[in-house]
Amino acid sequence: MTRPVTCITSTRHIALAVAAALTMLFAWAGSVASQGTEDIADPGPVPGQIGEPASPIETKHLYDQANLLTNDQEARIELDAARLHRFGIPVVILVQVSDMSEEEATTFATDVRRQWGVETSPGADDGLVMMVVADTTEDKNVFTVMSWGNSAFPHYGIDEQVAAQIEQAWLDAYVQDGELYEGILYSLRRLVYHSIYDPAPAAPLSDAQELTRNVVGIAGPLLALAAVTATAATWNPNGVSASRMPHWARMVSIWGAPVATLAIGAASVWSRSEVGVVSTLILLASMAAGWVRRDPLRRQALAPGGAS
Amino acid sequence: MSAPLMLRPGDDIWAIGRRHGSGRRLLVRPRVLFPVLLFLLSLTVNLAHVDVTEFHPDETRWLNRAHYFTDLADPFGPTWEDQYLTRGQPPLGSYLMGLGLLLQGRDTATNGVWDFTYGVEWNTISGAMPDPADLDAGRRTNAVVGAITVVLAYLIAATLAGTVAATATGLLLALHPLHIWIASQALSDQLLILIVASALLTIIRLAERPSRGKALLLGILLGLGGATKLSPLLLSLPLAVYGVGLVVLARRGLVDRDKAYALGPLLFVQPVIAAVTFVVSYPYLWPRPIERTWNLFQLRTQEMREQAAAWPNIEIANPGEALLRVYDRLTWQFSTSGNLSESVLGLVGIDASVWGFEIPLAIIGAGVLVWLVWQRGLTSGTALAAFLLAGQVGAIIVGMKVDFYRYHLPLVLGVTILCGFGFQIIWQLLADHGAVALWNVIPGVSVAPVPGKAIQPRPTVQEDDGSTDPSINRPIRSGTP
Repeated sequence: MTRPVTCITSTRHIALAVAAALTMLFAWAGSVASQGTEDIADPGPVPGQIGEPASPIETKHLYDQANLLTNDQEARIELDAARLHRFGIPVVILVQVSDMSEEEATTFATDVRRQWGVETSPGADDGLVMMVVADTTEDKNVFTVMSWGNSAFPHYGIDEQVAAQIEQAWLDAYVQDGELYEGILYSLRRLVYHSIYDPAPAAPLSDAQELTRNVVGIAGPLLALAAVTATAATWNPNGVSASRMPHWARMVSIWGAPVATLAIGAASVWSRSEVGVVSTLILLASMAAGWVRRDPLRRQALAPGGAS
Repeated sequence: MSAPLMLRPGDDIWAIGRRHGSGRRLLVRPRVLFPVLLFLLSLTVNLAHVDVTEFHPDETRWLNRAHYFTDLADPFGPTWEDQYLTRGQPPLGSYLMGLGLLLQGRDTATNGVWDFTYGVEWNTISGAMPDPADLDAGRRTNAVVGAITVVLAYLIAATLAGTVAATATGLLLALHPLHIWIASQALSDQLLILIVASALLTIIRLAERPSRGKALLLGILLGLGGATKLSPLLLSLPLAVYGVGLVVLARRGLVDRDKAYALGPLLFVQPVIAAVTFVVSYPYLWPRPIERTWNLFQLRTQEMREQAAAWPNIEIANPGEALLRVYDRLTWQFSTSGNLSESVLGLVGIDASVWGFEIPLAIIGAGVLVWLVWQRGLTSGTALAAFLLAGQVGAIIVGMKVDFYRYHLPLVLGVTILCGFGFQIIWQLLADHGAVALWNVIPGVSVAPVPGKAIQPRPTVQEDDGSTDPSINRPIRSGTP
């Protein structure tokens, strides 16, 4: 049995050398590329050197200057910060290692917010800078700061109380337990939640509304009482009593009731009068009862020789 | 030898007991007994599924809004402000959840809002996952609603076609897998078909004997239907057009003049009654009824578009595709006949996916319905019910942009009613050929056919109470009615 003879020519030597070189080149390039996605600290503002944001506020919200977050975590936080921005709260998040006090951090966050224009439109002053500061001691004590624009509240369901509650129950609570990522992410999500699912507080009543509310509070029940009394007084299960009413009374019951109901209803809603609403419902019910009672088909059926 | 059980088909009263016994026979009216049995069957089946039906995040939304019911006491409170949740869904399903929770000893302060952008983990952390007791209470509420709907479906079919049709309809619906699924979830779709079924029954009664009271009830039901899922509100418009059409046809002598003149105006006012009911039922709408109603429709449309974009595999491009999806869903995935066949085959060790025959049977039933409309006329309850049912089904087919399982539920109601008609005609064809004797193979059962009379329900209630449409209960016969 013969075995094939392997003969490596000089051309093959060259080809193998080129392949080996290419392999090494790709391996080196790969290592360089992986260094490109390595988790490194973000450059960002520091006290006295706030400067300009690295990217527009709409595209970059997180500055992990302390490099305490992984790339994946940063990407996730960016998504939720962008979502909060879309729901009307522009936000910048700073993560720093610093020996600042809490007061200094608050001042710094406010300076960043103003200098970078963290707001929905120039002068709106409705943005948020959220800051997590790990101190330089061995213990790496962490505290958080939220700097809101002066016109940020109320924003749908977010007012000062809700904002403080989120900072305390979500941001602080998780960060103090060493869960920095969760603290930032969850507080952003809670802000989104209150921006979507909670209503803005109602505007206070104007003087005219107050006056109308008082008038409706008296006129509504009186009209409702009159309607119920009239309905009861003329009620006949056979539905024929309406024909015995005087003409003017019939006209009032036909056209007056809808007009009065509409007027009381509109005034009640405008002046936010619960009493007016109940009166309107009673008026509507008595109007419906009157309409059913005046049923000509029923009268036809009851008339001698009518349909049976 | 006397028979222990005697069925006398065609009679309104069943005599159960010994034929020759004195005073010991139990007299039962099938028209009373069957709905009660169907209710109990449906309720039992639905409740049995409450603990095993898969959780759906949509349930959290309806449970979350249960507080709407108690917040009605504060109609100008923050709940009713213009916001995502108030724009997202009309309120009646939420009211139902609130009522159901309260009746079962729970309160209406439930879970937070489920944010569909995130997964179960975050929603659980943020408190959007309902308490199991709340979830069960919401599901049990719908189990009852589903069982009532079965009874209404029975009554609709009984009024239009007869007891056989009604029983088949009730059974098909009570055992329908999609019906059971949704009747054991805390959603609002069961309430929708309950209201649609109520409206169908009311419109049949209205046509039998027109009156303002029934017209008011019909309009209120359409308005409440709108307050459940919007689409029934729109049905009031074609009904008004139908009313005008009746009057026009009556002027030309093409329909029963008296009936058309009585019905026409009552149908014409339906949009007004429905719209007033819709607005009154939802404090959110009060400050700007038209603008905010538009908001509701707009957000529903937008959400359907977004859902179609998020799940392109269930996107529906046109009504033709929607029909195909309905056929697939109600033939292969959700079918009473398919399920029962699979269960029977499973008993003998055969594991197979069986074709459900409801759609072909419903097509036969639709033919029967068209024929009945032709026979009974455009002023009959049959015609009006067919029009309303076709409107609801048409609205769903045309409006369906994504193929979500729950969108098919109102179609199930229509299909099972039509199947009932199909059963009735087949039953009568068999009866006409003496197939009634087949019952006698059951031990202890003796069926005595009435000479010269097919198995069919007799015209009953409406003839007794002076119905102006005696044709309503006319049995389906293969010959000229």
